[in-house]
Formats: sequence, C-alpha cells, structure tokens
Amino acid sequence: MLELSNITKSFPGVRALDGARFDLRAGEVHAFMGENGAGKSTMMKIAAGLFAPDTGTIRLDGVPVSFANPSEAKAAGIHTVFQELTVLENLDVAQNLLIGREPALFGGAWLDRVALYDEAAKILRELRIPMDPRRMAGRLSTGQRQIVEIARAVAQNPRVLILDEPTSSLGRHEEELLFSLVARLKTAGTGIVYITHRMSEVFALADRITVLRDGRHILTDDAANLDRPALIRAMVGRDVSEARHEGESRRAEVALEVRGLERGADVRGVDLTLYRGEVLGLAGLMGAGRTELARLMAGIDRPDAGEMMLFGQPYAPASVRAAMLAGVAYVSEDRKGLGVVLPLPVGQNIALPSLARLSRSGWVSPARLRDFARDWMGRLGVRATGPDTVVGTLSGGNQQKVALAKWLSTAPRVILLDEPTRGVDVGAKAEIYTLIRALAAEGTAVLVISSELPELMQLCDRIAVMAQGRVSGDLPAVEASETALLELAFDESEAA
Amino acid sequence: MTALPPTTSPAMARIRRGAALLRDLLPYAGLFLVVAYFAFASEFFLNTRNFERLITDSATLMLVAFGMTMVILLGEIDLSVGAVVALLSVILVQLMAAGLGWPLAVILVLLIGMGIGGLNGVITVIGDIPSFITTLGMMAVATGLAYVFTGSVSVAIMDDQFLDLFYDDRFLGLPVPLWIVGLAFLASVLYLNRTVAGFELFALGANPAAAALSGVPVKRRKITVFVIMGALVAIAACLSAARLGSGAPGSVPALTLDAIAAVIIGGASLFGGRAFVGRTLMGAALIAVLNNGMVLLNVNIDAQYIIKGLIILLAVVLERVAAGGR
Ligand SMILES: Nc1ncnc2c1ncn2[C@@H]1O[C@H](COP(=O)(O)OP(=O)(O)OP(=O)(O)O)[C@@H](O)[C@H]1O
Ligand SMILES: [Mg+2]
Repeated sequence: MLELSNITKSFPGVRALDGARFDLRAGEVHAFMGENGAGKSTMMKIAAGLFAPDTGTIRLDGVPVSFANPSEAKAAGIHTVFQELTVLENLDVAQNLLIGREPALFGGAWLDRVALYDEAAKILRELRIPMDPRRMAGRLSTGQRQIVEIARAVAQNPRVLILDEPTSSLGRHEEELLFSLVARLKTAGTGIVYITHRMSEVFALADRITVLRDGRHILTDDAANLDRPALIRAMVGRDVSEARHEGESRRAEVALEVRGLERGADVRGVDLTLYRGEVLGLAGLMGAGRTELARLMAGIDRPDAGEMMLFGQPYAPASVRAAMLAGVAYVSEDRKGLGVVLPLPVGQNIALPSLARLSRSGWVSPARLRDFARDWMGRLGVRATGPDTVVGTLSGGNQQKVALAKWLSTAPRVILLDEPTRGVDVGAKAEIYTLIRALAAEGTAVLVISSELPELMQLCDRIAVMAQGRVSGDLPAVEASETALLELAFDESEAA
Repeated sequence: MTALPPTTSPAMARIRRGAALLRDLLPYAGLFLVVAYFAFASEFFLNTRNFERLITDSATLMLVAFGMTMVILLGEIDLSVGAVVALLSVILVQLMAAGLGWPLAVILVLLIGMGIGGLNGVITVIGDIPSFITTLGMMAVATGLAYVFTGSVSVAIMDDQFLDLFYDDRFLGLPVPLWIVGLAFLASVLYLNRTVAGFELFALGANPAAAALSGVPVKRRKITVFVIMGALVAIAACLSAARLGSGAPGSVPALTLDAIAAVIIGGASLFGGRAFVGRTLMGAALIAVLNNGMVLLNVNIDAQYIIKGLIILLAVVLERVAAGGR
C-alpha cells in the first residue's frame, strides 16, 4: 500500500538515510527497528510529508506521490504520532483532539464550542479513553498527552498510521489502551508503522519487521521468522548480552534514608533505604508517586512531612543546587522540558551541572569543557558530530544519552535516574547498564525508576515497588518476577 | 514549549536558511551599506573629526546595548534604561553642584544605578512579574524623579576635571569614552563566554526549567544581570552628562529603543537563549551611524524613528523566520 524506496536524506554533516526502503501492507503492523540515530524517525517524517527526501520515491497504492507538507500526507490518509509530542499545553483536550478540523458555524468563521466538546467526548468514548475533554493539556501527564496525540490520529480513520515510539512514556493502563486501539485499527484495514525499542512489544504486536542501520536497509521479514537475538544482531551488528545482573545487594553503609516522607496526595508516607554501592529499582504504576518521591529527594519539591538522612546526616535540600552540592543528582523523565536545553550544543549541555568543577575561580576554559564533553560522549556512545552539535538535532535516544552524561559526569554520591533508558536502543541500553553498574561498584548509590520491569530485573540489585504513594514492598532482583512485582504494584490500588 | 516538529519542505528550508544568512549578515552588511551611503550623501560624514564625534556620541548607546544583550539573552527586557540614564545624569550633576567631588559623585551614581538595576531584577524575579512590566514602571518612576530633582531645567556641570576626563581627554591617542566602551565590551564578552555565570545564562535563557534542575541558581543569575545592566547604565549616564555638559531630565529620549534595536539587529532572539555581544556592537554601530548620518543630512526626527523602526521589524522577522517559528 505504502512504499518508500531508495530514500536518501542528508542533514548538514550527517547522512541520515542512505538508500533506505520500507513497505507497508494494509491491515498489518510493521515494526520499524534500529539503533538511535539509525534514521527511523527521519524516514517516517518523509512518509508524513514533513521532510522531502533528497532522492528516492514514495508510492501510495503503486502511484508515485510527493507530499509538500504534512497536511497533504494527511489528506492522503497518512497520519503520524511523532516522537516529539505536539500536544499544545495551553489548549484543552478537546481542542487538541480536533485541532485543524474544529467544528465551525457560519462557513468556518465561528468556532462551534458545543459541537467541539460533543465531538471530542464522542471520540474519547468510542476509543474508551477515560479523560475529561475540558482538561487542559498542560495538566496531563506525559503518558496522557501521548494518548491524546494517538487519539487525535486514530479519530481520523487513517489508512496509514505511523507511531514513533508511542509507548516510551505510557503507563501500563495506557499501554493496554494503545494495544487495543492498534488491534482495532488493524482489523479495519489500517496499515500501522510501529517504531519502538522495546523487544517484547515487537514480538507481541508486529506482523513484519524492518531493521535499519546507519540509514541503510538491513532486513525485512515476518516477525515469526525472527527471534530476539537475531533481531538485536541485525540492529546493532553484534551480540548484546541481556543477562541479569548477578550478585547480592551490598548493604553495608546507608546512603540515603527516607522516613515517613509525605507530600500532597502523591507521596503518602514513604520509608525507603538506599545503600551505598547498590542499584535499587523503583517499580510501580503511573501515578504511584515514584517521580514525586524522586523530586523530593532531589530538592525540587519540599516534603510536607517526614525526614531524610544522607550518609547519617539530616538532609533537607532547599534547592536542586543544595542537593547537588550534597552529592545527589536527578535525571528527569521529562527530557525535553527538564533534561536538556535543546538549542544549546551537546558540550554545554553536558557541562552545565559540572561548570563549577570545570572552572577556576569562576573562569571556564572552553577547550577543557569540550574535552570533558568529548570524553563523556565517548563513554555513553552519543552519536553526534562533536560537542558543538546542537542537541535539538540529535535523534531521541541520543538526546537521552546526553541527559544521562550530564549527570553521570558530576560524580554524584547518590544518583536518581527517572526512566533512564527511555527511547534508547538495545545496544546503548546495555552500555548504559554497564555504566550504571560500574558507578555502583565505585560506591555510588543508584535509584532507578522504570516502567519496564525487565529493565529493573536485569539492572538492579533490589527492587522496591510503590503503590498509591507508599512503598508496598521490596524484593531482591534475582528473586523478582513480573508477577510478583505487579502484585505489589496493584497492592493497595485494589484495596482503595 | 511543545514545539511542532519543524516543517521542512525544501522550499521552506531554503527560505529559512536564507533568512538565517540575512540575519547573520544584517549587522555587517547594514553597517557597510549605511556607511557607504552617507559617505556619498554627505561631505561631512567621512572624516576623522566626524568619526571621533560619532564614537564618543555613541558610547552611551554602546554601554547600554551590552547590558541589554545580557538581559535579552535571559529572555527578559529592560525598558527603563533611557529614563534611568537621564535620572542618574541629573543626580550626578546635582551631587557635584552640591560640592561633592566628582570621584565620589561617580561612585555614588554607580551604586544607585546598580541599586535600581537590582530593584528591577528583584521585583521581576522574586515577584515573578514580567520584566516588561517591571521596567515600564521603573521608567515612569525614573522619569518623574528626574524632573522632580531638577525642576525641569537642565543644570550645567561646572567641574572641568570631570568634563575633561569623561569627554575631552585622550589616553594613548584615543578618546577616553572609546576606552571605556572597549573595556566594557571586553568584560561583557569574557563574562558571557568564559565565566560559569555567563555560560549558565545561555541555558537559563533557552530553558529556565532545565537550567534550574541543573543546579543553576536561576534567581541569583537573573538578578545579577539586572545589576550589571544598572552598572553599565550608570557609567553611560556619566558619559552622557559629560557629553552634554549638563544633566537634563529629558536628555536621551531614544536610548531604550536604540539599545534594543542594536541587540535585535545583532540577531538575538527575544525569546531568550540567543544573543551575542559582538554582533550587538555592530548593531549599535549601525544605529549610531544612522543617527549621526541622518542628523548630517537633516533628516527630521520623525523620519528617523520610522527608519529605525523598520530596521528593527526587519531584524525581528528575519530572526523568527530563521528560527522556524516557535
Ligand atoms: N533536523 C535535523 N537536523 C540535523 N540532523 C538531524 C535532524 N534530524 C535528524 N538528524 C540526524 O539524522 C540521524 C537520524 O535521526 P533519526 O531521528 O531519524 O534517528 P532515529 O532512528 O529515529 O533514532 P531514535 O531511536 O534515537 O529516535 C541522526 O544522526 C540525527 O542526528
Ligand atoms: Mg526517532
């Protein structure tokens, strides 16, 4: 149905696509895989009319087409949910859902507000999304915004739906919602392009898989003919170990201890102990209060009640800076909003929290800064031309690596990682795990918040689970199973 | 905040690249064109004496524009500078008239300038009020105070030593105001590109939330910039008073507009995160030459405003198109 062949696309300094191809059949879910920066998003932006290819052809039902802009692609039935969220925070859910095709009166001159909310409510009901159409998008969680975005595309009965890492910020409920949407569209004959870094999803959802590496087509095959190791090999070009971390938690010295911590309705009396040299996972459903807890530890918010001790000393950071000086670093889950500064170069982003160390009595040496950044780019495998590349032009996964490098490089005593591998490819994930393990081996206390249970089981020494603002239990990672963790995660939500 | 992915059809991309190029060239090309034009149009333009006058006349603008660059880099604005320069020059003259020696008077004015800047900063940052509003208020207050202090008449400066130093004297063959501008320029460039505080301003302007989470002391940095602005405004006031030989409450009507124009022509983004002292210098030079040339050609004052206004609009549009619209 949709066919892209021999596509080439260069950006200043990078060749993002190099003769790549992709084809989509009606009624199939076609997973599009590849490392960070392989060119997946670029390829799909070309299909969506956002970029024009340098060379190559796009065929729709066998007819060559070229889209000058996204509206033309939409008119042809190709709808896209981009990796970068495009939900407008200053509008409400209904306005976001129907933007560009708002019901209007008097020949389009007057917005029909009644119809707008009726229509939006209808869409949400049909898609079984429990959400108030009048809620401001700015007050939705990242996952809910993602759902709005997906609903916007689905509501237009697309012939082709492109989903670029749709689950990277979804909670478990929202994920199930998405999967059922995908299933319904599929039976309706929609062709779905599905970009993700999560292996489990691929094999659960996809009919066919295409792998891209360095902008080149590597393979296209039925999902049934591939297994996990083969797929990883195709993506990364080598084998990647996914073995669990073995070894017992070292519980000699307490790094950070939290007692009875409370804040609003999100954190309702948390007790947690983080030891020096251990990697502690924090599992839980969306809204369980994990991020809110981390924000208290990081000095972003102030608790209503409870206390914290850092290496035996009372710890009540009044600001992020204070937390940083005490040796506590926090990597936010909201990469674009809070993690990196998109218009600035990689080097300045990485060095930002380390400037004090990189300077002598307030004076910074740009050469030292660049060396420092280059070193850390190497350690995390950030794919960019150099430290002067603007972060905004990097692929999503590489931006995430920059956000990580920025904090790992501050040599913290305690590091709080909120969804550290969101949007990161398997190969890089393994590298990041190694790095985190090495950090812990050197004595850093690491707290990892993640919605991917396999990730926690692979990476951590111990996994604590939060439910409804409290810690409902913890398990050594070697003993943890998904079922056991989920049971704890649903623990109090059942009772409540 | 949630930027739509940039639309880059090839045509759009070409337009954006073109706009970016024009934006980057504007201060240089504009300056060149304007100098060339006036050189032809007026026999008085291209000579050393006029150029020296041009430089000393524009020293006030230059200093204020450097400060404005930092303020705009933060995504803020200072509308009070013109009024505060007038107020401070009045205070300076009154202090000297009251018998205070010029060094003490200058130091006092410097402190008052920093105080006013600090006040702008504190109200904006702590009160979480747009600097646009804060400084608009400050502008009104400063203007009013200037008239109160003088009773609406301009007071002449009697201290020859002061006039010599800040206007007539030369050091190594160059006028003192030029040295002051040069030093301020160097200090600004170093501050922005070589100090921790300056480095952090870029992140702060582009994404304040991320900067705060990176441990940047956001409030302190912002207030500091307003204080620096105040210091530069105070020095500018001394130069302005020396040049006019008096302190007059309505002495520098277009200064605020000119300073903002210089920064914008220099390709800065009014949304913050992007501004350059070097290009501001070129932008300020462009404005200064325009002012000087238009006076030589007897262009009337209203037409001068219109021309400068159009250049600002052009610069703003170019910057927005080049940035791809946010
Ligand atoms: N607007 C742009 N300007 C410059 N370079 C770009 C731009 N967009 C993408 N690139 C570059 O093109 C390459 C491919 O990027 P793309 O976003 O398609 O990767 P991806 O496969 O989607 O990766 P990820 O899994 O990390 O999202 C990268 O090297 C990226 O830096
Ligand atoms: Mg991508």
